[in-house]
Amino acid sequence: MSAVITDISTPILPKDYSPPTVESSKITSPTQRRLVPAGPAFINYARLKLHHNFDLDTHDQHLATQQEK
Amino acid sequence: MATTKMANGTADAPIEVPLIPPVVGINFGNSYASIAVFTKEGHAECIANEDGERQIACALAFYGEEMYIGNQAKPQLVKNGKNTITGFRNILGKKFSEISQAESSTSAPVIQHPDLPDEPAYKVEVLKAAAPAPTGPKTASNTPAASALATPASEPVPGERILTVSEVTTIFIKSLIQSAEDFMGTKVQGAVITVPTWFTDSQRTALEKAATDAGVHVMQLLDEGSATVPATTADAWAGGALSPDHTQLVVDVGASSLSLSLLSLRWGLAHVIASSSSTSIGAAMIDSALIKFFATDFTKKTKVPLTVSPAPAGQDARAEAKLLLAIEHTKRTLSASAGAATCSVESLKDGMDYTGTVNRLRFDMIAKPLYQAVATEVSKLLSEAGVDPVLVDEIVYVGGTGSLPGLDEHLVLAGGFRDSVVTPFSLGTVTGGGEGDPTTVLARGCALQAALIAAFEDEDEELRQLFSNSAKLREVQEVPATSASVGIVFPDASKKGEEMDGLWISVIAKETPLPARRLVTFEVEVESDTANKFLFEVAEASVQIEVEMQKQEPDEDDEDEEELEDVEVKQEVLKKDRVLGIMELEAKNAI
Ligand SMILES: Nc1ncnc2c1ncn2[C@@H]1O[C@H](COP(=O)(O)OP(=O)(O)OP(=O)(O)O)[C@@H](O)[C@H]1O
Ligand SMILES: [Mg+2]
Repeated sequence: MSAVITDISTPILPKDYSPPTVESSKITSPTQRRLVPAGPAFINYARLKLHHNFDLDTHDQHLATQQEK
Repeated sequence: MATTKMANGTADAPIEVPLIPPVVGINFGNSYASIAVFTKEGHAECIANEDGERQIACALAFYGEEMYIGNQAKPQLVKNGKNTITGFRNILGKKFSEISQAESSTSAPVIQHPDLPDEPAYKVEVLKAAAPAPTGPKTASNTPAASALATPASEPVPGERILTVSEVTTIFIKSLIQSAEDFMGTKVQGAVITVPTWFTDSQRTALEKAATDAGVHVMQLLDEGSATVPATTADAWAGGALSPDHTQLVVDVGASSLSLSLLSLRWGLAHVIASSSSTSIGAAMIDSALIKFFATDFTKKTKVPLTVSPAPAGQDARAEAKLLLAIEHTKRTLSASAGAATCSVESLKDGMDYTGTVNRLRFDMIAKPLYQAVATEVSKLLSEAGVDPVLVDEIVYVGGTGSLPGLDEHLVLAGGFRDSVVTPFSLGTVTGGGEGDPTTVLARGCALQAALIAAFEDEDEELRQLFSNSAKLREVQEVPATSASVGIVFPDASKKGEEMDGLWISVIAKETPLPARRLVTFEVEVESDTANKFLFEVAEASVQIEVEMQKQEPDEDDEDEEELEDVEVKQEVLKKDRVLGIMELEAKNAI
């Protein structure tokens, strides 16, 4: 799992903070790329796409049962 | 059938460990091939064949009744060139009419097959066992197989043999597999084999067929530009010098080609941002200059005139072929150690032996046009991809010529990379069979991939099949990737008016395949009188490169009172482009 623990401590919200306007919560449209079909991360990705239809929860379950074996 | 000249396995007998799958990785280059297997520690390692070679020349030579394969075939180029076959990988799977007649005059020419339409082939002279005399007594079929002694050995007769490109490839791959089996002491159950990125579908099919004919189960054909990935994403690779999200440039310099791939690596998942290849840039540029250098030196020492590159036919052409063989060793010595390297040829011309040396400084001068050509191609690729060189975190070298330290030195400087860019030279992993060795990384990457595929259990049959079905695989490979970085911003009074207005924590880097899930843990500070509330913005940001001219620091050791020029200093500036949302949360326990 891609987890990063930082040693960052966040600043306190400025008193005069005024929230910026949010026009859209959508990310900029992604670019179409081609994955390198090799390595363990690709195999995980292929499994997520083909077997779990990008459902991360069922994918997690699968990985958990694999771990137990 | 001609006999194969191969000594019996000199490789150490391996200790058998059942957990290690009997699969191999094969780097099948146009000039050299290499094989990687698993050691008892479970590492993928390149093995030496029975000639003691890890870089196995893709060559086949016929002399009399003998067939030589690999490095033993190359010396045949000197006197027996017309019966020596090289360069077959690149034309595999092509029709005869699609092949431009080879400029190389030292090896067997490609001909139209006498019987098969539009099929490229080679014609070589061989000595064949004479047909048994028709009047000879017939051996009863139930007697034990008679030894060769039983029938009087008749003199072999001169004949010719026609081999298709596909047959040559099969013979060659078979010998690679034989070497692997001798090493492992067991049958090879499958192989992942490299293919050039530019191979067409029919060439890929032809390679698969040639390998199958050699008795090899092909688990996957992996692009040369991608085959490094299983090796470079393994834990052992850069020893923590790189973030799990990084941008990598793969520079593959072989004998006659240069291939570049700019990869985005995101927690082990890689995709191609841009790639290019050229067949006019490669070691051949160094080789011709280097043999000219030695030829001149030879003439100076012996007073025997010698013209090479190009050489007139006859004695000079043979001397040229000998020099080309000899500098293989010279170049390897140069990349392995900082000292001078020798070039020795017995009876180079007119019976005169030659031994000369070249030091690294001189060699790098000779090789400079190649270094520069590589740097120019790299700059072109990066600028077309819109990626500033300072944003490249790592350079990986592939191919024999990628072993030259001078290339790395030149490229890092001329390409405008950061001083801190990670390369196998900066990591010290090139020499001594290290992780970063450019001559073994493709085969090792393929072996690692083969092991991954071999590890699929029955329930994953579909996934196993996926890797041998390129059309289906291509569908899975297609992926959307982020075109900006997504992260969070904690507004900060002290940073007001700056590009970010606060503290930025990157969560999903630009060029990350989607869907992506990231978990970032950090501490928040709150003012307890505002009811433990805190707030952050979710935003997209982009990196901008600002160039600043700075006065150069005077070098203390530098005695010359040269005028110090201003130097360009590039700085990455992160800019908040767009706020996607604002999150207000409550801290659970304020300390
Ligand atoms: N250690 C080394 N140092 C310098 N040059 C080397 C080293 N090892 C091999 N070479 C050179 O690298 C070249 C072969 O590179 P490589 O095996 O990558 O070629 P290839 O990919 O099979 O060929 P091509 O580029 O023609 O497709 C040869 O010119 C060889 O002399
Ligand atoms: Mg190559």
